[in-house]
Amino acid sequence: MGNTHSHHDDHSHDAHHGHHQESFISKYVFSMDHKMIAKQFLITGIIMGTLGMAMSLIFRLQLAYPDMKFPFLESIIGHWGKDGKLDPNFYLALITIHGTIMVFYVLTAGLSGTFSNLLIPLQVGARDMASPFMNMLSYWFFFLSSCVLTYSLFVENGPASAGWTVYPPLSALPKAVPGSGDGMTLWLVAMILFIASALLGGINYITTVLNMRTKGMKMTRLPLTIWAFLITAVLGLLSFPVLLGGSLLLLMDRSFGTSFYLADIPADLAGGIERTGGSPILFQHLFWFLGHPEVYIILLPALGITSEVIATNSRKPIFGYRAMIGSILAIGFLSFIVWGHHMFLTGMNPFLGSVFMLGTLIIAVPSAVKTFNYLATLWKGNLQLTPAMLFAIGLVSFFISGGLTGIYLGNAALDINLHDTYFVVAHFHLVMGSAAIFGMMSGIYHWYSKLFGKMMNESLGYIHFWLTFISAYCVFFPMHFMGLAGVPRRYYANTAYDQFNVFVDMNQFITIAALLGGFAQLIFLFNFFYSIFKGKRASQNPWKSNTLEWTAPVEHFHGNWPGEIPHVYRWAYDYSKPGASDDFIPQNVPDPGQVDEMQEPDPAKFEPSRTSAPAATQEVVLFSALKRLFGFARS
Amino acid sequence: MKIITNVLRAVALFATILFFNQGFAQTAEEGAQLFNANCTSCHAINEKVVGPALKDVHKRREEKWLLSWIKNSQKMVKAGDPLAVQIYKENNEALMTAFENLSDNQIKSIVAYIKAESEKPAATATAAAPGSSVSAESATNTEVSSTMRGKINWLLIIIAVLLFMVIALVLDILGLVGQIQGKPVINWNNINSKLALLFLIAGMGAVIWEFAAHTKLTVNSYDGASAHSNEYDSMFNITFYLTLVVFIITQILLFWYLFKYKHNKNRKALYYPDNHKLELIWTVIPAIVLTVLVIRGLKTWNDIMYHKDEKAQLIEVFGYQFGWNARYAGNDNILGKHDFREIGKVNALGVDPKDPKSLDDVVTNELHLKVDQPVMLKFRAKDVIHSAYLPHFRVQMNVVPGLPTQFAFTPTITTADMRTKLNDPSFDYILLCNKICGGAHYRMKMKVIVHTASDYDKWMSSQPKFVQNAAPAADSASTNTQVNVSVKNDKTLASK
Amino acid sequence: MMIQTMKTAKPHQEPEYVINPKKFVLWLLIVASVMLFAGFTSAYIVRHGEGNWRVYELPSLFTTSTIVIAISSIFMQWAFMAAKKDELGQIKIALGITLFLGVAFGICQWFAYSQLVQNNVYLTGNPSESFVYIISFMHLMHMIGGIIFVLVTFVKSLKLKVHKKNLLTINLCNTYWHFLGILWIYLYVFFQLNR
Repeated sequence: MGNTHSHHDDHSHDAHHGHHQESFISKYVFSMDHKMIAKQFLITGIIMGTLGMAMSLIFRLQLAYPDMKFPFLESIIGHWGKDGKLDPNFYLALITIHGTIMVFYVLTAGLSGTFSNLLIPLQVGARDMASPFMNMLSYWFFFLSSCVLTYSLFVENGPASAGWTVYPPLSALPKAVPGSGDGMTLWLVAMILFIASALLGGINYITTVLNMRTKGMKMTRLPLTIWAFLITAVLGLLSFPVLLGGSLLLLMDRSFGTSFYLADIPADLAGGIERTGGSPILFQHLFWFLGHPEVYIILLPALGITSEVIATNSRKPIFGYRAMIGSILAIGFLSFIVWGHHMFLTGMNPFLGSVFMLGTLIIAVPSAVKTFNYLATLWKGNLQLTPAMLFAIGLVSFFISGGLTGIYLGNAALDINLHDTYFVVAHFHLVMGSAAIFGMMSGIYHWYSKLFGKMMNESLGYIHFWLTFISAYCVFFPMHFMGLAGVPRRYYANTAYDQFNVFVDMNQFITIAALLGGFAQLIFLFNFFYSIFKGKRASQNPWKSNTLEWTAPVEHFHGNWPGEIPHVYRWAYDYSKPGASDDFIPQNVPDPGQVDEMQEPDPAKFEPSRTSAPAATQEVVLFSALKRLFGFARS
Repeated sequence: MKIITNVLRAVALFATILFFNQGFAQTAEEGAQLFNANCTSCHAINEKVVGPALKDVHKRREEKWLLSWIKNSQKMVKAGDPLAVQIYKENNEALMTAFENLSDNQIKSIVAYIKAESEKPAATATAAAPGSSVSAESATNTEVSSTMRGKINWLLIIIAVLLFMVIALVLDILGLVGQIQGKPVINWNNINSKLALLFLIAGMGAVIWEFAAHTKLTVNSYDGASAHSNEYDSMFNITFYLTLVVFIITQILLFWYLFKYKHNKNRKALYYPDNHKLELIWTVIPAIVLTVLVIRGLKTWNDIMYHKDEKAQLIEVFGYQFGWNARYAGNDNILGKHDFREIGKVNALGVDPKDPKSLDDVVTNELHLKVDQPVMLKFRAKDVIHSAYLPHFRVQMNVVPGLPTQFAFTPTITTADMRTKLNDPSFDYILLCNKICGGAHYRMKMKVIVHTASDYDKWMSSQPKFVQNAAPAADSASTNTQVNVSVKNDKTLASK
Repeated sequence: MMIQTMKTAKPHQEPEYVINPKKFVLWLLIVASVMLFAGFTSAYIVRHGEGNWRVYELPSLFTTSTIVIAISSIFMQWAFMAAKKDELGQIKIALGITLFLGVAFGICQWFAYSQLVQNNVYLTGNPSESFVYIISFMHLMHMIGGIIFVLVTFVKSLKLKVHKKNLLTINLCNTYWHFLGILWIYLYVFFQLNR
């Protein structure tokens, strides 16, 4: 592909001279092109996601049919499924790895990694990331981390099984649960590699957004996707190092006999050394200091993608652009001061509980603003119901359903009876699990042509959407009632409790719905891989979108644009502007009414202006303080 | 021949049971109690749980071996007993709790119980297994079918892929036909918008059905059994109705818009990028509503957590892998000192037998409470973090090793009253573990019984004192702060 | 390097960056490091607040190493100034001394650990003891990175590649080295104040 466009090679990334003769390895494996890295992130994420999903189906079977035997289990998981019965310890391993994979490998790396990489340079108008080499490293750390985690499934005592939150002492004492042996060490190694990957990526994203925007791309003209990726990267940069610290201390406790997190553990439980003086709660503080922002690291990119997809497909500007940015900033800031709401019942001072509760419930305000703004964007729109649009709508629906239950759980008093029950499972699977997955799906359907130059089959996309949407609600909505009945999460079976055993029918219903959902993902997988090879060739701007990535040619090559990088004259949301002949005006179309701020007339040769939009675009300075903050960036 | 020997054996067994009925039944009965209290979290008779199935264990192992194994299996493993090492390996190196507090006779009665259970015919045993919902018959059926499924797995996958390809091809062709005809064969725009409306209606219907069908299963559907339940429940209800209204309005709008504003190439969308008044409205209204919720929530939280009562009865709840103990402070209402190094050595809870305060302490496997008597639960963990969860009382607190935590509340409904209320004679309150703690996490529970005052006193007087012979020792400095928190943790976060 | 290629990227007007991306990346890395140590030191404070905390003498070598790293920072700054003034000889000398002092710091820390052991302060002891080991060790790991960086810059300066018109490397090196110095002084003061 690159060969046909060698004429563009006037820009030069020193490391990439002569990439027309790129070998297979440098083009597809150790590629430094952000688009290829995005594809690598996506495909690794999808593979990990399939693994995580398969795990959830196995433990769903156990929950629905606790007395049945499934001989095929033995052929899949060996001695952990002896005689077709899932081992209780391996059940814990499955939920742990399912959580880890979904939270970190799919929804952090697979979602933010893919779309930040793909969209940041394309939408801000840059040739590539600030440091393509670091970007490549970021992917390979992630890949290595995935390998280590997958390998941990096969160690003798099984993978980590202390829950994805790996609270010590359970995770620190190999004698407490088999999975806290080598499996847990590998989990920590995988996590440390993952953090390295996330930091390298995040640093790159921030630098690119702040420093490498094309001419005219003010912060107030950035598409909301970029704002979301930027705040996500900032959250990651500030919180992942703390988890790194926490993990290192846990590693020390496990392997070097320290007792940061261990208190009053007698010698026979703790590998021969009596452990005193530590604090198990300390780990929870360090973990949730990352863990809570992590929720928004997952969710914000999905919301960013949704904003873009909804605006484009409603043929309307996103309602309240500045309020959207403001709410992203508010959510990002608040996410750092509410981590304690995961720990209301650890015996923390009730006063502190009150403080965390206050912060937590305040988050509902910017979230409500976002929801209402989405609704206002849809109102009187001209909705193109593409698969991407439907998934974005699905996200909004999940965001409402799951967000509202957050008001219960953020309330310290109500948390007393809801903490760690299925109510929590329902809440976070809706608001961050399903919602973020739907954001990711929306992004995949929307930018598939940017990734692979082909179109996905839309009809299969619709079938995929409706099956997934219905099954996700069927899986997670009933769980609220189990939670309200007091059924704890992470239970291998409810058979020991008459009061919980009445939910066996519901559990079977949920499992069947989950199997349906799993089947729907097969449709997606088929569509995804089939379309890479057999899909319809994409046109340059299939969704008639405004953002800069659609001004780049369909074929990929290093540097993104042949010739000059387009300049930007307007915000990304000039859809259905009165007076314009088309219902969209790309960002690189000059605005005749505007005073020339570029000092030079822009040629804009490669995307001939098709409209003559009158009147000034609303170019209001966002936050003067913000501008001063980013003052070093060109404006 | 075989049948005859079997019959003979059965007759002999029957005769033995008849002859020794008296003594045997008694020990087995005691054994049943002990078994349920100590063993069920990890063992069952007929199935493997965390530990192996115990059926016929008396035939497999010698009694002497069993005694020493149950008392301290790790000692045997370390001593290199080949059988012990083998069992340890077979069970994924899961640690069996040491039961040095059980006497030889008690263990023997447990074995007697296992023996009695093993000799019951298998079918009844399965049916009697707690909460088995699927009959043995259907279980075998599925077994067969899933074996077959295993064989045709690959074929299925191949067929599925081919099917998808055919569907994709058909859809592609339809798309092409549509292009030629100038209008799409399947009008997805139309279908999707109608599906959205259908989803809205069906979904709302399903939600209503769900509330009708399952609300009665939740603990919120009947009165909570503690004094603070009313306040908790009203907080819950306020939140519930508020969020329900928002849920219904926003979801209806979302899907209605999807239906109403579906694509129409003759219409142009409204250019409507901003409206500060509207945005202000939907910032301020949620803020006001949340302020109400926050104020109300803070009040509820503080009322529950700063529950002050000088006369609260002190009970220590001790959590370990995988079970609970309750230690009652006795007449002096002061708990004896304990040391984690002594756990399993002097006694199962590591309580100092020399401390005079522990003389009148009582330890049980069930939590007995007196109705309308304020109680302060002090939590202590032996190994990993557990969480003591009493859903009917709206009570939960984590149980953290090395970090004492507590929760004070007042039970208000006796078990007997609750049974009549719920019309369920087998109902029991429970305390269960709600923080992942290892393989048998899901079986780690303790029965909670709320008595009337007179029943409670009667029960308490029948309980043996924990420490039988004690020597005078130093004072204990057991304090009794009436705040539901760890005493130690108070200032931990202020600095962070 | 980025900045040069961008500036020389002729016919079309390619973006010129007000702040060099590499410099920006370095600052962000420093932010990440700061968060790591903020995490460690808050953990230290939280744990300290809970009591059961063993108090002991910090090794005297920590004081020595603090002085060493402070002096090395001065030489680093000298090298940077010299580079700005294009005094190639001075750059080499100053960088050489910085490198030497950096290694000396590392050795100091290593012997400080044996001093700690002599004082019966062990990694596996009370968390107050473990914390000092792990926090200073993490700083040492950062320091090794810094020493390699100085070494690279030093070799460059030997090849006369560090001068007025090629300040980027030494600028980055300078920033990172000062960060390491300030970080250690912060940790040293922190340990002294929170015992």
